[in-house]
Amino acid sequence: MGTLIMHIDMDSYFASVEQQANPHLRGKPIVVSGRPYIHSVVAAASKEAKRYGIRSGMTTWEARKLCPHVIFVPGSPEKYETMTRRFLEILIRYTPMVEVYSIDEVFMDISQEALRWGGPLALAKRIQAEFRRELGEWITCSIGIAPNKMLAKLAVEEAKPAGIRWIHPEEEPEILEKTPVEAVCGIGPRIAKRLHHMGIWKLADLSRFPERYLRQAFGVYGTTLYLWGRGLDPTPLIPYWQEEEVKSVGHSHAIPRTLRHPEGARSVLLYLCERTGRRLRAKGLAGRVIHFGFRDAEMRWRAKQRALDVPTDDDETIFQTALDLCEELGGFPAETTLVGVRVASLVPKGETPRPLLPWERRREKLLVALDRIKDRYGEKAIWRGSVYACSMLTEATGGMGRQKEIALSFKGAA
Amino acid sequence: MLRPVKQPVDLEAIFPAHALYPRPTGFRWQGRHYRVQEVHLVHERWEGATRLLLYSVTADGSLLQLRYDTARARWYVDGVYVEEG
Repeated sequence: MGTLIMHIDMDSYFASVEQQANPHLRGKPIVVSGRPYIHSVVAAASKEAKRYGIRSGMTTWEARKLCPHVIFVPGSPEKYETMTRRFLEILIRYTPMVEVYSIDEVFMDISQEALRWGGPLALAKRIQAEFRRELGEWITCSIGIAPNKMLAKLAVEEAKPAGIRWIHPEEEPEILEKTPVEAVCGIGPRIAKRLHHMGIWKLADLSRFPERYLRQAFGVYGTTLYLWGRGLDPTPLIPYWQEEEVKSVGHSHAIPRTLRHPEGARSVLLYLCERTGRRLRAKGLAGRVIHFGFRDAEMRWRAKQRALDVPTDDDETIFQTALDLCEELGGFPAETTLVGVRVASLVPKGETPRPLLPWERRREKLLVALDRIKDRYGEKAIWRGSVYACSMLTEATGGMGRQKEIALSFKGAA
Repeated sequence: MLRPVKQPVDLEAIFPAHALYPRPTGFRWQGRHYRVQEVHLVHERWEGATRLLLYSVTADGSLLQLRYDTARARWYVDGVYVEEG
């Protein structure tokens, strides 16, 4: 038996966790989203809601139109994070070759372990049974098995919901002939459109196209496309213990209707800068490049970045730089629907110059004191008055994609 | 929807040798003894340095959230789930 990759995808994850926690929600169309008064998107729809055509990424307004009696449940990131940690603990019992792909998706290399557990199918069934027993009956997963990650991800789509699909090597030619290019994770609508213009509709069409033409059109990515067309995948599995440290730290958030005016957007930006600075300090990092962006009422995204002379982890510096960038973009529009800030080019804080000016040293001490209060008594223990209006944002669904940090925390514990 | 309660309670629990979390079996609340019939889900939350364990349970037919404050070793009825939709 050659390489065997298992892809585990939790079914309607956030919604299933909520249904597991609250039996009143079971069997009903529910949607996990931000708080009801925040203009929000569907983070997850239950199996019952999906029957009405509700899908992740839709606006809550669209979801309600499709199913007027749908129940909106505010997202609870700590619930999903706890459950992700628990299912990872189960998987790591079988193999250390586990890649945390997202908060609800995992790749495992089971080439060595499958035989010991009676083959890949028996292993997959065992994992599903353990999830049911240890996580709960309502939290189910679908499992795809194939010789590589790309095919395993295709397999899992056929396995949904709660099934298992194993793509054997002899099936590959038929699958490549029938699978549309846009079904592959990594081929988005824009690339698919370009491929269609080139007469490439199915995966197998990619292998019939000369590789050099694909490289001319798509650069290095052209080779990946060519290999996918032949049922190969150059993407390696990166186990959680090889996960690289973070390359940037940042936050973005959809803005509730009441805060979409320029002053409100400014408050949300300050709040996000504080959270970014706090995370940088907790990791002992500082960053030199500040990225800032916002989305207006017409859903246009505008963004700009600036490199600082000295790396920073200071909330105020991040905020003032982001504000400068905002001014360069013409300022916040009358209605801002989303704002984001990110700090990149990270270095360890210890490698950055110490502050020379007294007011800089005072400010650093103040931040340390604030961090200590929050570490001890929680994030809500102390607030700036100017971001108090943002308290409604804290439990919304933003920040649920913390798979990298979860993987890194497992790495630290290993 | 969870209607907050946040009241401390006298609670009986098992601390199993081979499970991750303690398991509540019964508690006294508002002058009445409740028997925990099923634990649906346990999740963790950090409030500063304090680790909280939150239990969604059915107790004598009521759906409740219990909270265990690991720093103070105290149990609370955190809230009551109210049916909607």
